[in-house]
Amino acid sequence: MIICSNCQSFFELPKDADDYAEGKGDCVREEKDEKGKFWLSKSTQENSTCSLFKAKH
Amino acid sequence: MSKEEKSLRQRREPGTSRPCIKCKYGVENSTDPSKGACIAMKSADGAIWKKLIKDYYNTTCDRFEEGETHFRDRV
Amino acid sequence: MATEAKPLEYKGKVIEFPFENPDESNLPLESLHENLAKPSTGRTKRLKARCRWKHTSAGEFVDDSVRAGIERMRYITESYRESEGRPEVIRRALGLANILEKNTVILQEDEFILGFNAERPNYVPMYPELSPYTVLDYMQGKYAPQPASEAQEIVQYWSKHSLLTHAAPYFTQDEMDRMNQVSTMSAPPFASGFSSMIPPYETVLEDGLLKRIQLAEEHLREAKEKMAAPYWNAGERLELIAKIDVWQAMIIADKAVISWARRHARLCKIVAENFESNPKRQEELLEMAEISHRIPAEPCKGLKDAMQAKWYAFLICHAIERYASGYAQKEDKLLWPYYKASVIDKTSQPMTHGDAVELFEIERLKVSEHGAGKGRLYRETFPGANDLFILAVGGLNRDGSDGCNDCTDAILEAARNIRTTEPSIVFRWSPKGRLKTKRLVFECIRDGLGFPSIKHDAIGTAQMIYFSQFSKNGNGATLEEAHDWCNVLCMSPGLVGRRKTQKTRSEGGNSVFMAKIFEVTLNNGFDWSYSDMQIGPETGDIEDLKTFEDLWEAYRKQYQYCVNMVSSAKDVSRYFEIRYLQMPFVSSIDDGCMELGMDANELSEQPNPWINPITTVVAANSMVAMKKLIYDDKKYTLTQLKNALFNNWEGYEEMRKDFLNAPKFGNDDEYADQIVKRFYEDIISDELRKIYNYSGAPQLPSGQAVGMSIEAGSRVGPTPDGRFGGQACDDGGISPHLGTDKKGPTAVLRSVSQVNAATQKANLLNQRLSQPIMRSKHGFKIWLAYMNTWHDLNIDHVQFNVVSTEEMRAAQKEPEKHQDLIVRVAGYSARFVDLTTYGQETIIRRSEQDYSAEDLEYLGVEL
Repeated sequence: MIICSNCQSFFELPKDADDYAEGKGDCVREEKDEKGKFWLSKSTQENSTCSLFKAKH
Repeated sequence: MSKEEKSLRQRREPGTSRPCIKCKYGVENSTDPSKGACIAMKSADGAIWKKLIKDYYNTTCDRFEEGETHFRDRV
Repeated sequence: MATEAKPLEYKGKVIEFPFENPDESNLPLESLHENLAKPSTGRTKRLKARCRWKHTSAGEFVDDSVRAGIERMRYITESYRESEGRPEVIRRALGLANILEKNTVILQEDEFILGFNAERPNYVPMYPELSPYTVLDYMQGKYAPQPASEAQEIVQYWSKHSLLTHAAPYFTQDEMDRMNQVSTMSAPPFASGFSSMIPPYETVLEDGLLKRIQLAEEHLREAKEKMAAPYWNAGERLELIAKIDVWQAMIIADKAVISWARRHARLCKIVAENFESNPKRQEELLEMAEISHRIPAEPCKGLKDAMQAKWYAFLICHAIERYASGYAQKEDKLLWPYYKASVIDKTSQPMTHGDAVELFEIERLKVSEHGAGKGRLYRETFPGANDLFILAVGGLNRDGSDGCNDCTDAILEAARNIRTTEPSIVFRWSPKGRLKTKRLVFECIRDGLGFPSIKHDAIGTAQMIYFSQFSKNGNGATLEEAHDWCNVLCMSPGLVGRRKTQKTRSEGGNSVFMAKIFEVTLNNGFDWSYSDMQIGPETGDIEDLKTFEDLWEAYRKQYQYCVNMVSSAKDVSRYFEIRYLQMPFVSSIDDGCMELGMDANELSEQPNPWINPITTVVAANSMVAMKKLIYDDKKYTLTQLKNALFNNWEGYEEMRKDFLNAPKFGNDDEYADQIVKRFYEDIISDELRKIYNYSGAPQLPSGQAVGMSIEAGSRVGPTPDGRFGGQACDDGGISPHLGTDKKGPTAVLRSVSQVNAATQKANLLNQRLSQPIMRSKHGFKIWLAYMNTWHDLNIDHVQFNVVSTEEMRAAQKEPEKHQDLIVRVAGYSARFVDLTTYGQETIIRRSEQDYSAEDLEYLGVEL
């Protein structure tokens, strides 16, 4: 299924996180441009979906 | 008034196809985006002498030239 | 090749000026500054090479890839739509919390300090709640936030709720039009949303936010108990309602900030465990994760903690809760306990002095990447800068001892090594300041950074004591606390510490443009040269000004009108900031706000009011020229002058020469200096001091032009000092006009010292010093003597350009080869190639001061 929980970029929140909620995770993506690499993290829900989905190995 | 100043005399033309906002000598007003300033006028030593454009979308003049000016040639 | 200064006969000897570093004679003069950067590590070298500068010039971002982000405005708007009906201060806190919960957090390669203000490293955030004008300006240009339709909806929402919407109805359309010209007066703060502040960083570093939350909860509990206890007393208790809201808002804000920092911690851990293959970097990322999990929730232990906590607090105060320009802090005092713990005692996060220097270089690069989503006016006003970032070091401690320490030196070494324009540094000069640190100050200046700028320590401290007497709650600076100050932005001192700091620009700030006021004084308040409209009161045509005193009094009336207008605009902004732009996070970290349950916009313990007169010297020189040639010598009539000015001196070339050659300020000329002194004291200061601001204190003038000497110059027609229409005006606040100071550096000091510094809040003095002398073996000795003389003359400020005309001309021809050439513009420095050609010429035209034997004698130098 193309949902966040099955995506390489999805990292489930630890239970002791301040912003913990059931099914909530961090979407972490690596990007690169002419100035170098950087990583972006955004909150998401495990059953969300988006066009950048990449299935977990 | 010099020939240059005459060519830069602003005139309001509602709906003009040659508005200051499209002109290379037009720059946006510092505070109100509906207004602008003309940067075509130069003083004796090349300094830019700005003139306010009260209606940026509906004003034009004889010097209209579509385009943008590189930041280095502005103020 | 670089050339040495010519030998000079002095006290019967011929003095040679060989380079202090003999190898410099092999460096090409045209690219000297490209050879001076010495990043202390490979990491800082890489970070600088890939730095995402966000400098602006002529209203545009120099780097075309910069874009306006949408996240900040999306999430604050989303929250506002959901929180209708709740107390405004709570809505502000919920808005902040929504941003911090949902925004994208970023980690870049090689970074050590975490935190950014927008969703991508090349983005800047938007603040529609301040001014929809600004967002509209971005939307009609190439930096437009996307999706455009969403941005449009957001602007529509805020067009009913912004600071501008609230405040504008209290001014007539005429008044708004006049202010929005930015020709005699600056635009009202409620139209631009511009602000500045000094965050009370100390509480974040010393207490941690968990402690702040605990304090707010205790106040909240006590207030609720008091509300419920018998017997009800309305007079005492109704006021608790607003306080309860403020404390609740503080708790919401601080919890959100802790959680946001911990999102960064999680990101570092995830990258270390899933993306990074270098074991050393993995280890560092885990260390960063540990720090951001603990900080700013808990008190800082070492220098790494303090740097990170300070950066998070900076981002919230200056870029996320609202936009506020600046990087105000007394950094060597603030970080000294943590430097000591890490570098000297090695009790926490142990490191060497060199490691600390690297950390300060990293900090400088972090600031260099920080962009501001500010309006066009402020993208024009600071040409070549991202924004204004100025920190202070040096001065005296509370007990009167020397404030310089090894942390001061690390900050200065980092600045010298890495060569970035930002942040600028202010050095508070005291005779007690240690020589070792003054030598580092010299090296930064000598190498052309344009900073540290120098402020007179005792003058600043006396000013804090002066303003404390007006404190509305009787809790202004104590004699000890008065020593703890930095510059709020470019020039004006303000307290640092756990409370009593300035939190909004509506306390001090806003500008009037003295040259333009002079121009309209000669034309009955009408602006013929830029806006073609009446912009001041009718005080008579030029021919009505029969005597010099007529001119003087007409100018006074025009000035009165402008300062009154900009002062009221400032305080009306404050009125609405208090009601609609509360800052729960800033309030939570201020001990006064915490104790009293008051928002930071509202609580004023230490007044700090000022207005910036800009382009004063063009106006003053015009006054001098008219007195000399029209009223005293009667060489020309007022009608002749009127015709000459309306024709921009065309056809009046000989007359222009006379006005250009009339006595000018900055040459130790008694005739000019006495008029100029009276102008600064009788008009500029005395009129302003009749106006009391929100905090209950009389305002003082703070002369600082930022880049407005250029921008404002382009809106000013020809002036009687011989200037053409559109030409740049004087830079600084009391700097002689471009190229008109011809009698050497000490003559400038003597002229400037005529003006009583105590009548002014600050006054910026730009000087351009001879590069060959500064880089010679005598450079430090001569500069030190100059500085000691400057101090003894009781002058408020001075700053220097040390750069050759040859190198600036070379950079104009091949900008890509001169990325490290830095010049001092105003209260900040800029890369020369980031300036407009017009702006570059104003730097080149400044008088390059050489030292004659008479100058050296006056300075008392022994060579």
